[in-house]
Amino acid sequence: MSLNYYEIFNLPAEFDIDLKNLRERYGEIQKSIHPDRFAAATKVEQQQSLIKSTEINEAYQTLKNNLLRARYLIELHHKNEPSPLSSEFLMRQMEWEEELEEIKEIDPLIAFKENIKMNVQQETTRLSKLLDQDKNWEEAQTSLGQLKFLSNLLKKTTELSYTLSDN
Amino acid sequence: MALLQISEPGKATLPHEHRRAVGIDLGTTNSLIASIISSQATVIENSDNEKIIPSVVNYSKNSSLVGTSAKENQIIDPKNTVSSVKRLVGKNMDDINPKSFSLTLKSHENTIGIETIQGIKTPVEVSSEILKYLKSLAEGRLGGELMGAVITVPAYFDDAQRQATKDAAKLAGLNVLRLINEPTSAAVAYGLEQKIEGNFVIYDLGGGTFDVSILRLSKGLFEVLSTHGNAQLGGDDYDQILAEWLVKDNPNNNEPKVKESLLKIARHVKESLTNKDFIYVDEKITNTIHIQKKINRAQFSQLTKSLTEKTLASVKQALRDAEIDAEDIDGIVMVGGSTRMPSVQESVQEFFNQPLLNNLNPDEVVAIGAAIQANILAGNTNDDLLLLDVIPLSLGIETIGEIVERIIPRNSTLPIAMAQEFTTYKDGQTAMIIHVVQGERDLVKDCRSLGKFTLKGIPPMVAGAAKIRVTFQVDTDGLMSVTAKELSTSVESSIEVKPSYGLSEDNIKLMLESSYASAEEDKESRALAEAKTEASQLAEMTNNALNSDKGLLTPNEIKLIEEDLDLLNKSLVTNDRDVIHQLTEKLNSTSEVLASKRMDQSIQKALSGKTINSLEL
Repeated sequence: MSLNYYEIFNLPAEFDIDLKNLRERYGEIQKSIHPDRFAAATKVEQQQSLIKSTEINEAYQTLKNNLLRARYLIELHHKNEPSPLSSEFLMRQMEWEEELEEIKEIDPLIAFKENIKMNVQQETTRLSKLLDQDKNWEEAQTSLGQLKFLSNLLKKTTELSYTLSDN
Repeated sequence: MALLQISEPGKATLPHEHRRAVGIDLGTTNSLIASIISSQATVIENSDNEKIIPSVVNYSKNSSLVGTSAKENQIIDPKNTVSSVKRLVGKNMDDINPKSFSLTLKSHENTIGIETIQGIKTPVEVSSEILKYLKSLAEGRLGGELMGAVITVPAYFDDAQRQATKDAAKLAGLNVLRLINEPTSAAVAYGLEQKIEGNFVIYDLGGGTFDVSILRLSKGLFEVLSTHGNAQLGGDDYDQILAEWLVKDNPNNNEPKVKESLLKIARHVKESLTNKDFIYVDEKITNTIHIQKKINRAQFSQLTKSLTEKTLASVKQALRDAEIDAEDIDGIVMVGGSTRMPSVQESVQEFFNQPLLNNLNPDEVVAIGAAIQANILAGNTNDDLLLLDVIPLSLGIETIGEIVERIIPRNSTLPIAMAQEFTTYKDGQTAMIIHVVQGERDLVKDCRSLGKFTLKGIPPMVAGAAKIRVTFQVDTDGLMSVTAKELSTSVESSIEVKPSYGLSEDNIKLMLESSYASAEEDKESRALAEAKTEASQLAEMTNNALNSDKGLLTPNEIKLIEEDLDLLNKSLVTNDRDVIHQLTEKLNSTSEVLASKRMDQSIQKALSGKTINSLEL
């Protein structure tokens, strides 16, 4: 298929998309081409249905995830390697990681998690503006790098909160 | 194989063309087969009016028994009576504890061999005996050969276990329409898709396995968000704990016969406690073992608490994987006979703080769902329900230092494909081995080895120059296939990929042929009939597709297809199997472009009326 992921779902190539709408369109497409629709068809059709259905899944998984969608959107417009993160952000990275390392109780962990969540939201808003309004791919790449770090940190924090609450 | 009646995919056939399709719940302890009979999902009974068929096979010198009659031989002939074979399917000796079976087990080719009076039997063969029995029940009831079957497997089954299940079906002469996960099947049975949008938990505690799945449902779409479970935890373990408690102070309880009787008593006690508050056990097993004990519900619940807690730990993990909180769950479906235990019900209800959905018979619900799904796949209905399932365990490959590199993460929606590039590390290297594992741990030894794929036919080059793209595809049954391509030269798909596990195609063919036990010419005429059936189906369907969608092709493409179609039609009268086979393959390849373009057209049609800006619907 020569269509890009946005074209497959007939959606505008933007970061800020309606996920509910995406999911609905995904469902409609899968209902028409999923291998379950070809259980009694010829081998060729079964094979083609498997290939297309796999592609649609990949397109959907990419567009439904903030980080993957941003990366995909940037790649559609901008082929350069991302520039390294600023030394200022690297400093903050280290501080956050040290802070998390110190936490052994659930209450301070929840406070920390809220803080990181807020940072994720702020960075997402910034990234969205850079992509959809400013079309500043270079800067968006940097913002995406920061958002990736923050999302990973949030994930780590969440996992730690599970471990603490399970014990 | 039966002559298939096929219409254009996606379109329902006329009522008189109803195809015989069945759903099979191939369970650890019991198996069921169901079908849509007079618009009603029905579990099919055997001549003794039993719907629930014990998954037990008893081998005697010249014949084999399946079901209750086989189970009756368990105590008198434990060596030749195979029960719980599902625990052995797709495994090898390293994966199991042979002591927990009353059978003589040993390593056999890539799998486990069970020594019986009829010689070595593999778990695939034993499972196929059960399937054959169920198949004949359904054929008797439905009045003819089956077009296909949907077989359920625990969501947590890995690739080898799924493949083995499919092999068993093939060996039983069943056309597998789809393997579906047991929890998903249960959700279909409850008709949850007709409800409003929501998140549902399917809690499935069977005899031998526990599964939990989180599903998101809306408008006929079943999206599995996550699945978790334990393939070694089920109602049998509750029996085991109870049996141990019953003879706590008695040393002679490890003899097979004693163990068998104890488990039987334990099962009875467990089941009785579903309706009674307490039960008094007074059973003499041997001259030295005489059990006289009273047990109440609370005691039983306390004894087995750790088991129920293990299931809830899986539930928690599944919720986390789905990124959903327990409060956001709109319903909990209870599946599997073991969910009848009041202690289990109470624990789950307490965990979610809401009432449970348990009005369908938990023993039948999986088979019923599979029958509904089989009916849809066979094209007997216009229902546009679609199941989107996930891969239960991550797939990875071994890298340097026996570390696992994850290729396909667990809970990815199926079908899925991922490509990875490899290179050679020696000059002139023409082969390489890729070790594929399944599991969530970082070290190879902590994951389940699926086997090694040998890539052969890499063009010789200096080290590091070859670029081999290996694609791992997992289909909708959750089965993996591996293909490889060398990118730096134009050698395409000439790289041969061979898995080291499971039964090979040839092996299955051989087993199938020997099971026919017929004369050479019978085999030949059967093969010819099959080749003809396949060819005429392909010809008819290609013809239909061409007539309706000629506009999608270039004149040259049309010409090529028409030529091959004509050749194939002519070959049908020759009775030359090889020629028919070759021309079938040829048309398969020339008509690929038609199938592909028709598929693209379907995608566009699916979104017709949805403009780029119709964001709010």
